[in-house]
Amino acid sequence: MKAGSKAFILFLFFNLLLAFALVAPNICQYMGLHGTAYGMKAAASQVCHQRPDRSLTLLGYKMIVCARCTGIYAGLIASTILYPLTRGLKREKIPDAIFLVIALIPMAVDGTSQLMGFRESTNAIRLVSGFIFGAVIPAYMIPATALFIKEVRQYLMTGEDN
Amino acid sequence: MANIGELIKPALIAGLGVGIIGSIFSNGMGFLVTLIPPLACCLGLPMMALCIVWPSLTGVGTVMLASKKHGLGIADGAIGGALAGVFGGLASTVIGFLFFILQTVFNIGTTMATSGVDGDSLAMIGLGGIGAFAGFIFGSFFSVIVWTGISAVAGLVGAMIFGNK
Repeated sequence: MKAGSKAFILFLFFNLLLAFALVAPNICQYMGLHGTAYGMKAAASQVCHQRPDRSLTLLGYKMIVCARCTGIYAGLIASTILYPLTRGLKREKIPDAIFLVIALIPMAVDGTSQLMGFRESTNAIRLVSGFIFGAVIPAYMIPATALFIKEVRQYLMTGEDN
Repeated sequence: MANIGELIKPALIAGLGVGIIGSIFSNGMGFLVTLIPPLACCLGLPMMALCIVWPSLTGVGTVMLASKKHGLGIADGAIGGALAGVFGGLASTVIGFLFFILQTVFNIGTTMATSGVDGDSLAMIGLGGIGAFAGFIFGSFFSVIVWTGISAVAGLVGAMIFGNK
């Protein structure tokens, strides 16, 4: 199996875990397991502010991360699933950093203008701006992981770095 | 490519350092807001802004430390960042767990003080506590994966900026 395919499978596995972890607390709450959902929410508070007014609702309960984080993860997951179709698994070149910066602009402008009190954003804008940023991440991370797998393999076989 | 051994040390330093400091800071402020709710108006803002900053600092910090001796490729930055993210995420989860226990005990105490205690409510609290514990363990995987991901992206960007000499 090629390094690109291995990197993709690894990345897809973690993305599916991420998707499950995102919806699991809402499913638990829906099933009446409020204590379990509370624990999950407390753990996720390490990576998101979880403000209820800035979070989306699923199955009648607030999600464990805010709308912007939900957008990032949704973009990441969707883009990873579509990666073999959009970029192909043979491509090894990591795109220029400029595309990552461009994808970050909507989120940065929205977040900064809100943080400085110029305006109040909406959950739809937070979701979309997060999605744009999340969607470009696999284009960098999958080739980087593939490159790393290749280099480790070469190092193990020859004992030499590139 | 940098040797993995050369990435682990900076990843450990940046991951554990930022993970512990960041987690104490964020969770500490969160707990402070629970104790004194009016503080939310002035502490809420830095808490919100900082939640994504710690994993990003971990990735960039690792690249800065690792690139002191030799240049780093982009893949090295991403992998170093990911390693640091695992360490940082684990450190953050452990500290978060201590605060979680503190918060849960505080919440149970408040509930018992306001609504009284009988056998049924104690059993409910016990069941809820076990469920919450299990939920936290599961949620920790999510937290560590996210830390790893954010830190890896930050490491990648850091390597693009600082890595090549």
